[in-house]
Formats: sequence, structure tokens, C-alpha cells
Amino acid sequence: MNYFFFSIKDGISATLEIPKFQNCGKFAPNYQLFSADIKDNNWIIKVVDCEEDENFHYVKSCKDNEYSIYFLATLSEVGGKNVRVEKLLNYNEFSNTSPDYRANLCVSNLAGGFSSYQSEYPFNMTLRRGSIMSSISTLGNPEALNNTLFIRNVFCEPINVEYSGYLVCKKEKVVKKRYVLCSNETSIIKLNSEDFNPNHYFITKGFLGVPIYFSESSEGHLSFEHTHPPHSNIHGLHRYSHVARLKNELLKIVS
Amino acid sequence: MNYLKSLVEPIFNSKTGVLLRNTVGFKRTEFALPSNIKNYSCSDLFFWRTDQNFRTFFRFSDIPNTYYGIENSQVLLIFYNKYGKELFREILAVNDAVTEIEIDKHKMGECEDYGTFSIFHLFDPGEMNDVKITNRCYVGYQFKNSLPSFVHGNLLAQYLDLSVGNNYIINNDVAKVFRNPSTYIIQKNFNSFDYSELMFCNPSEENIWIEVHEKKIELLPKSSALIKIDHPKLLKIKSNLPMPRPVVFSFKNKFFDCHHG
Repeated sequence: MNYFFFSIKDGISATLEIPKFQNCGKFAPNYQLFSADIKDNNWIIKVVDCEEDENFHYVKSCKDNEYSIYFLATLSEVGGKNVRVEKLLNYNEFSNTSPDYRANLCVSNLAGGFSSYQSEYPFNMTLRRGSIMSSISTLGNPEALNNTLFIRNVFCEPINVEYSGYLVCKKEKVVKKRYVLCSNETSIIKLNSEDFNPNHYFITKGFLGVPIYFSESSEGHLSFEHTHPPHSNIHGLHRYSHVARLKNELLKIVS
Repeated sequence: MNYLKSLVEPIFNSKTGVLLRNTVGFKRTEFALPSNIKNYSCSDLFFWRTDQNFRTFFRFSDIPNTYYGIENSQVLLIFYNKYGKELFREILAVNDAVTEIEIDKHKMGECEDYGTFSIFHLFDPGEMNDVKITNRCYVGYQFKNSLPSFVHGNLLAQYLDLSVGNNYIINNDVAKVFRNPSTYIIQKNFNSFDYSELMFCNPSEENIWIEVHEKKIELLPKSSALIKIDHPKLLKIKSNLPMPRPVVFSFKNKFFDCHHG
């Protein structure tokens, strides 16, 4: 099952187009769109009242839903239109598809610039703590007016706790910058020209997340894309141990 | 049980095993990486485009050094035209952890067109075993004076056996074709754009067909096609390629966006 989320900041709004169909064309007419928000150490699950047509739910970002997450389920799976749960649940298999079931997450600015990617946050990822790493130079646009790295974490427990992110130079083996991030939120990191170095990595300690790079030019053009998880770059029997060794090398620098 | 698995798995994942699985429809696989080769470098089939004032920016990481500690490697880049015919090859030394290559019409021989390309890391694995690189990379498309809009690689296509020295033979049998056609619907509403373009390529070694609404095209291996669409209610794609996922370019006023379908 997949959850869906926003990434917004000052001057940038977002729209989520959540499909009512699987990418093979199968519809599930009884499924509704639900949101989940943290309140008093619980997840509050509600039916979402938003614009929709026969194919999509359209959710627009605002200050009130900045950190909300969304999912598709039936009323009986959730247990009502407004319920309280202690942990995020794997309500159904509808969004377990290959290729992955995705929502179009589109960011836009007042000039009319827009950019999107096909987004999702898999339920299994919400169960784990850990760290993610991302090479800064693979997706940043050093010539852009603004460069931002969004780190979106979704964790199954209804907690907003601080954790750390680091900009690390692998070559010099030093921490260049430290950032305070928050679980179950989209954390915003402003990137400057000196941050774009091929040897620079971003790494988190404590929670997973999706690293999404955003750039904006002075004329309003946008770019918005996530980096691959590192294990997608290699195969073989020892694939995960190679990734773990690289992560541990970076984590050793930050510890 | 593990002993039994270790006996069966090599047969299951062998060329013949994959062919049999895909033919009878038992645990079919869209992409099959070589199970009998110790060290390889595998590439996606990426798009370049220099038509309509586009420029392409390609970024790749030094995977041999980052993951295996192998220094001073090179990359082999192979460019194809839209008909799948090889245009040229180039070998570059890898000097940085991340390298960017600009592909403009000057690089492509003053050609304003589109096509595909692939990348292979080159190095001597020596006594190393199990060096298997699938560098997915990132491609940015710049339209007129826009920022490059980046997408990640998404279609594994070719590999090169690193254990055979400088004999750069490219194997094209990673992506598989199914007997029964697949239907894929892009989970995006195309209504709000002036128009969109879908860039398809054929990552397999067989001819494929792709049907977008009423339009059916045939693609030779490594060839590509750009299909313009207006405002479909739902964008349904049919093909004998199991994952007919295009790169999508959407245009509105002076702005454009690009992402994987």
C-alpha cells in the first residue's frame, strides 16, 4: 500500500492527482480518499472532501495540509469517516502494483512554472527507522536562482521528533553542514552554490525519507525529481553490503 | 531447502529459464540481468533530444569508485539515432564522483533530432568477483532557456561483460518482450496542458509495437519515437513490451515539465 504527500515551501504550491485506477486500468469504485494527520499522539484518519472526477482525486496544498498524508481505502477498511489510530496501517493491496502505483505530485509557482514527478511512499518504508543518502550533485541545478532539497519522512508512529541530516564531503571526510529535520514532515533544506560538489552527500540519521530536489530559475522555470535509492545502482549478491559500507563510511564521518 | 534453492535458482534465472518462464507465463520477468556473468556494467537506454531547441544534460556517478573502490575508470558512451542505428561511440576518463555531459546539436553533428544512448563503466576487475553495475543516472532536458528538468533512468537495456578485456561487445537482451500485450495507463491527468509529448524507446533486442489510443507504431531495437498528444481523458498504452513507460514532456504557455510516465 502507498501513501501520498506534499512538498511545498514559500512561493511554491503543490497539487496531488491521486488516481482512482491501477496503472493496468482496474478501478475500485468503493475506494475513497482518506487523509492522516497527527493529533494528541494519534493518527486522525478522515475522509477527504476535495475536487474529483471519474479518474482522479485532486488535493491542493495549503498551510493546514502541508504535512498530511493521503491514501485510498474503503470505509469498512478504515472503520469510519473519522477515526483515531495509534499506528499507520496497511489497509489494502490496491496500490501494490508493478510498475508502482503513483500519484502525480506537481509543484508550481506564481509565474506559471510547474514541474512534477510520479510519487509514492510505500507502507513498508513507514515501518523502518534508519538513514538515507543522496548525492547532492546528481540533481541540483547550480545555475538556478533557488535550490531546495525536500526530505519527506512518513513514519508509522504518530510522532514529530527531530532528527539530523548532514551534508558530508566524502573526499575530505568532514561534515560541511548539519540540519535539523522532523519526522512525519517534509523538511526543507536550502542548498547554496558551495554545496554543489561531486563529493558531497546528504545523509540522515534516525529516519528514512524521500530526497526530492527542487530548482527554480529567475524566469520561473522549475525542476523537481527524486534521487534513486543507492542500491539501485548495483546488483549482485553483496549489493546491500556495498551500500551499507558506503553509508557507514558517511555515518562514521558524522558521528 | 537453501541447498535446493541454490541448485534451482541458476536454472530459473538462466537465459533459457527466463525464456521458458515468459513463454508459459509463470513468474514472468520484464528485465533479466545476466546470471552467469561475474562482472558486468549494465545501462539503461536513455533519450537524447536536440530537436525544437532542446538540449540534453546527462549526469552519471562514478559507481566503480563509490561502491567498489576502483579508481581511474572510464565510461563508454554509445549514441543511436531514432531508427536505432549507432551514430558514434566515445570513451571518457572519469575524473569526478559525478560527471555531467551536455548533448547539444553541435555534439550530435549539427543534427536537430532525437534518439537514444547508453553508458558502460570500463575498468579491469582483476580478481574481483560480483562487480555488477546498473548505473541508473539522471537526464535533464532544457527547452529553449528553461532550467534542465531532470528525470532518472528507468529502462534497463544493455550490458557489457567486464571480464573480456577491451572487446566492447554490447549485449541487448536485458529487457524482455511478452507474447501477450500489456496495458499501461499513465497515472496523470493531461487535460490541463497545451499539449504533451511521449518519448518511447525499444530497450529490447526484438521489434516491438506500441499503441497509444488509435495510433500504433513499430520500433526496432534501440530506436525511439516521439508522439504528440493533446488532451486525452486517460492515456492508455498497449504494447508487447511489458512496461511501455514513456518519458513525458508536458507544455503549457512558455513552461514545460518532464518526468517518467
